Amino acid sequence: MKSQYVFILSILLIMSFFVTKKKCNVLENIFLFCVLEFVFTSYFAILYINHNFWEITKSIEWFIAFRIYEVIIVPLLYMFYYNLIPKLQTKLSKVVYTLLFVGILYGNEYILVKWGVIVYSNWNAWQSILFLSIILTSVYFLLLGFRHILKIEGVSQR
Amino acid sequence: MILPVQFDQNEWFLIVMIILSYTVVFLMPKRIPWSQFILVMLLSVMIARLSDHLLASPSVDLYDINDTGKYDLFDFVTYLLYAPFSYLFIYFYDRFNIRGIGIVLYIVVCSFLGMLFEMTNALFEVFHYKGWSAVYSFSVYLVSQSITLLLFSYIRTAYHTLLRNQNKKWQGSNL
Repeated sequence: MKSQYVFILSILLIMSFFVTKKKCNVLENIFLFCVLEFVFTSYFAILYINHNFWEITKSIEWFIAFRIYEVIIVPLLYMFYYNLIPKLQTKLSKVVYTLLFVGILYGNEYILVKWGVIVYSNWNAWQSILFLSIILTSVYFLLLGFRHILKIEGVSQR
Repeated sequence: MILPVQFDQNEWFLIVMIILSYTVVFLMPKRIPWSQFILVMLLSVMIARLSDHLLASPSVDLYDINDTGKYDLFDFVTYLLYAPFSYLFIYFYDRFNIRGIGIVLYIVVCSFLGMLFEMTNALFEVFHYKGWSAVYSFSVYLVSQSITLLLFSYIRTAYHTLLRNQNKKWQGSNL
């Protein structure tokens, strides 16, 4: 029953993403989607296939829910972040928003840990927070690089 | 990332193919802007990674890539190999201005070639099938190549719309 929350959340996120006004243009969003899908499927594979830092539940229902979490929820949350951050004016608001965002990201993971979908082994919360933040920063720099190319081609002003 | 168990035919095959395919791509005349080029290449890498993650990871586990069932360094190299082929697929589509029923034929022919190339990969032990067969990949290629073409058309339209809007803004600011 609880797994329904994950399905509902993913559908709501997809709907919200398409209806909200975005700061990144459509090419930047496609770029972000491709990069984030690649990065997160690799990141999760390294965690629970290569090194067994995470153990994922064997229940089929929860396994599908976890797949939705890694393939839809996490990349979409990141895309929300990159689309909202340019709307903020001051540096302080950007810092607060970033901290809040990392909190939301970890909050999702924490719920899955509490529900027994993810079981940590030789892994701690701070490591998740660290890696989520590293990915956040690295993908942002990649986005800046792509934006620079768009600017040279005269497609984007920023 | 995990290193290969043994540096043998599959690793050499991937290295040779990567060098050959990227050389061909960079020697060919440029047909699309860099931003579209990057997106087309990324798109194929993402589709390949996503389908392998969903079909080849534990609990589904229909095939293994390279030496182990894990995500090793040469799995990453395998994904880099999809990008130039995706560009060539778009390049010839654009170069020969394929339209109408020709698009269906083009996708069928390219999916068949994709399947043959995958069989060659399997011969060099890049893929180890468990419950999978190269024939199943044919339908996967039909879907993924259709998505690639659809998204390329969308990307190109969006690109020109953005370019037009920027030019209008620029002309407006100069008046």
